[in-house]
Amino acid sequence: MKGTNLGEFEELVLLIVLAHPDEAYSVGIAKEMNLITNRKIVHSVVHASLTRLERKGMVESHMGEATAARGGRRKRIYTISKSGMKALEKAKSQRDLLWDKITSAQIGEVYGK
Amino acid sequence: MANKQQPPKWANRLLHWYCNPEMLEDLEGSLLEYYYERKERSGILRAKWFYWMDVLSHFRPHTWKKRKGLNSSIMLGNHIKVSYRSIRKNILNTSLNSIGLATGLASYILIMLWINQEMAFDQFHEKKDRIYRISNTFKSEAETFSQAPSGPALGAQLHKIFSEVENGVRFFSMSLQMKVGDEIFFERNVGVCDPSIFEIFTFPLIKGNAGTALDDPFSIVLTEQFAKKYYGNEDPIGKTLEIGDGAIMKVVAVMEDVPENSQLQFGSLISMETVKRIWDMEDFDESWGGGWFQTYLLLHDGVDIAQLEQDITAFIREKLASWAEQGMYYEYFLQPLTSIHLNSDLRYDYPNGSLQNVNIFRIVAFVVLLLACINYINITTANSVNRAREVGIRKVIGSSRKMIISQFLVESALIMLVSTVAAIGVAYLLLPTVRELTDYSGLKLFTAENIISTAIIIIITALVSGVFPAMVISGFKSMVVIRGSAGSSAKYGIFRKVLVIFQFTATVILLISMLVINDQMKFVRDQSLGMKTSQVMHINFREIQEVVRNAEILRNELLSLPEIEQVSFLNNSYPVNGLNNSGADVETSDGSFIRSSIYTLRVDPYFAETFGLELVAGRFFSEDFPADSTQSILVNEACVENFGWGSVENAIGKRFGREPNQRQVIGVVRNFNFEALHKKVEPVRILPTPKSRYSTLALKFNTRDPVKVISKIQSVWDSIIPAVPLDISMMSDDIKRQYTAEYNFRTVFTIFSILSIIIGCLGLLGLVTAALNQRIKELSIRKVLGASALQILALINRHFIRLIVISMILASPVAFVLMGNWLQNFSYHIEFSWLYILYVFLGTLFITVITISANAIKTALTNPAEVLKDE
Repeated sequence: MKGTNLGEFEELVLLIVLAHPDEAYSVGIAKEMNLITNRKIVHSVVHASLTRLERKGMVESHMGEATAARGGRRKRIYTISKSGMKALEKAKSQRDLLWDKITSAQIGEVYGK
Repeated sequence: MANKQQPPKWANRLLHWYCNPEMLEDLEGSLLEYYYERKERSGILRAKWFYWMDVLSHFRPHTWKKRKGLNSSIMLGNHIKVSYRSIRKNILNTSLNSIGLATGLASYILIMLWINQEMAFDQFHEKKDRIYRISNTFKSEAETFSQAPSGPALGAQLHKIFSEVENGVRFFSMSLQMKVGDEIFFERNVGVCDPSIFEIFTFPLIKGNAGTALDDPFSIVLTEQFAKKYYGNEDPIGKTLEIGDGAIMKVVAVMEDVPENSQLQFGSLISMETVKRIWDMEDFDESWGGGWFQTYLLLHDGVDIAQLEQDITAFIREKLASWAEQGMYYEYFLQPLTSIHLNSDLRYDYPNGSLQNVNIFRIVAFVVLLLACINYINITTANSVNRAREVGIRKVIGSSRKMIISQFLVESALIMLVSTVAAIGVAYLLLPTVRELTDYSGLKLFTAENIISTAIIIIITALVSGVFPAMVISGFKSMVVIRGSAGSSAKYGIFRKVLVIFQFTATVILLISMLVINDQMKFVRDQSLGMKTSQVMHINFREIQEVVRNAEILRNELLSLPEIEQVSFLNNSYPVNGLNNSGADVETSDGSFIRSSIYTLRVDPYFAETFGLELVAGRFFSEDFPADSTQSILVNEACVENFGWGSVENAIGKRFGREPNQRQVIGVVRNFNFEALHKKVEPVRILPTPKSRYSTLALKFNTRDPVKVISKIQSVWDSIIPAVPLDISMMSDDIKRQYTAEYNFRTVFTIFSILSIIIGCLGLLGLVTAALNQRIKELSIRKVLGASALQILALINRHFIRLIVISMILASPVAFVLMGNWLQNFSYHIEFSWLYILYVFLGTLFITVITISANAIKTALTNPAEVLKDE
């Protein structure tokens, strides 16, 4: 296994799963992703990413309720696992560490150019 | 109609087919959710379309079903090993199979190379879909014929008159002398055309400007090949050369060589304007009739062709009102450029191909390949008994049917691989021969197109020949075969018989056709030429006046050579190459005159003797009658019939032309062929030629060593007119060249017929071997009981001969109809005789009996004790 490192896309997927306990499923995640990133994200990409995360053990899934909107098919609901949570935290702490080193003066310099 | 609201059924099926069942419910649900949303928002059509897209976009490894089963790559290794062993064990059958397949494939590949070239004729022009040639049917009281060339005004003016026509170009090719520095060349195809040739056709220039290339008179465009020939590696642009009798031409551009599959063929191009000035011709841009140019028009998109044809016909009929009064007019028609090569059969056209021949060869190549596939199927299934135990054991141990099928497919694939390598090798070796036979010197084996199409045909061949045996063999019931019953082989006996009958039916049809084609070609060559051409050579000097001035000296000097029997000067290059025709007023049997166009041959008094032309009435021109040059004319037998003169004797004294240029018929010659031999002999008039128009010298020689004669002629020539190069050739060679296409057709067809009988015999050999193997014990017991070797042979032969007889019965009527149709293409043809069928029957029977007996004789002579001692 590639270890616990996350790609940017996977990180976003995990965050969305975390933000919607008990109701994160592939179509919902894809739509949310569209809103947040303002990019055209197709379902198959999200689906592939979820499958991959599940194989890595970062999300768990169970079958939910059947709804009419889905032609009577049940949906697979994803929840984040402990190792998924750890991976997210690790990613966040890595970023925080770097952000802490950056001063507002440095940021101002970039915009001032 | 709830169904209409549902997502596309086939897309769903696809999803169910590939999707891992654990994922299916969720995934299908998600896609449905999108589907219903989209249906609400953008309508059912878009929703369905996106559903398809979704299903396809989810087709990725992570959604696929997990296939259970053995590791296929390990099994493949095992399959190959087992196949290799079995191939080695049955080396005879393997080689029979491979040789058959390789032969079939090689011939298929080579034939397809040629067919691709023929089909791609003139396809390289970018504007090919808008380019048409305007040709016409000439109609008069006496005759109707269709020809390719049109009057010069059409190409010069039609695009200015008709808005449908964007541009026009006239083209013809001529023979010219070219003088570059001190070197003199005779060039046979100098193209003469309008400058618009570069705007209409795609002939890319390497150097120079296409827009202005031929605008100035006395400029010349060379192809790369000719630029090299004249100037080596120097830059030819701006250099000058002399053409004809000394006109100075400036090289303005160099173009890429003309592709071989182009109907316009030339080594250099000069403009119409230049020709007008060199030969001081009157301006012909206003003359709507006659003409010797091919005229091509570039039309605008979406033009109504039939309407345009009518408009042009009507327009020109008006322009030629004086002709119309005499009942003569042209009906114009437009031929799409790309269809001319295979579909046009007109007078004064370029040598064209024939769609019929292309189709014949396509079918024949396919049949030969099919014969090879049948061989494989027959030999493999006939020998399947030998593999039955192996299959039985495999099944008992737990092999699935799929596994056994893949085992046998791998075996077929290996044999196919060997055959393919052999086929490509053979094709490579034969390529030079094929280039010669097809007149395409640029044929290439390894082009992307060929590789792809070859790969496809190989895969199809492999499937056709491999799948059936694999199904049969894998279908054996394990219990039955292990118990030792060989019934499974007999089960497909009928099927094999049908295939053998098919093979031999096809072969017999090919063989009968081969005999008919050969005989027809021989008939064409020997009988209907009407001239004795094998002992004639001709020297072409294209009216060069230095030769004309020395004509008498040349004649006398040449006649003093013991090998030369007669010498004749004529104005045409020579009669087999096609003649010109022109209009004439001819007296009919009731004394009135009709206007007719008629072929014209201009010769001196020695022509008939030189060419062995036979007189059926009257006399030929003679130096003893000086009035001949202005008052006499000869005609051929076809004229007698055409003008209704009744008999050849009646023809004498009939008048040609009006006073003061009237001539009287003094003789009638037997018909002789001057066009392609599948055309009827047309009326010809023979006129004396004025000395100044001599262009060809023909010689009749009497030795079997033409090379020696040529060297003597050369020295005579050089002593009299050293400045002019000697351009001499054998007339028989020219005739052969004229009929190359026909001769090559015969050659290729013969090769195919022989291949098919070889393949058929290979198959038979395989079948006989298998039958002998299976029946060896039976045959041995027969011997023990008193059968003679001869009886055993007869027993084995009888079975196969029955199949051959059935094939003959099936093939004969088919061959009769096919060849009867083919012969109708020739105006002069042989009759289909039942003897052909008899010959082929006896021949085939003989070959098959030999094939079978050669194999069976060993078995027939074996001591039965050897075979039976193990029991």
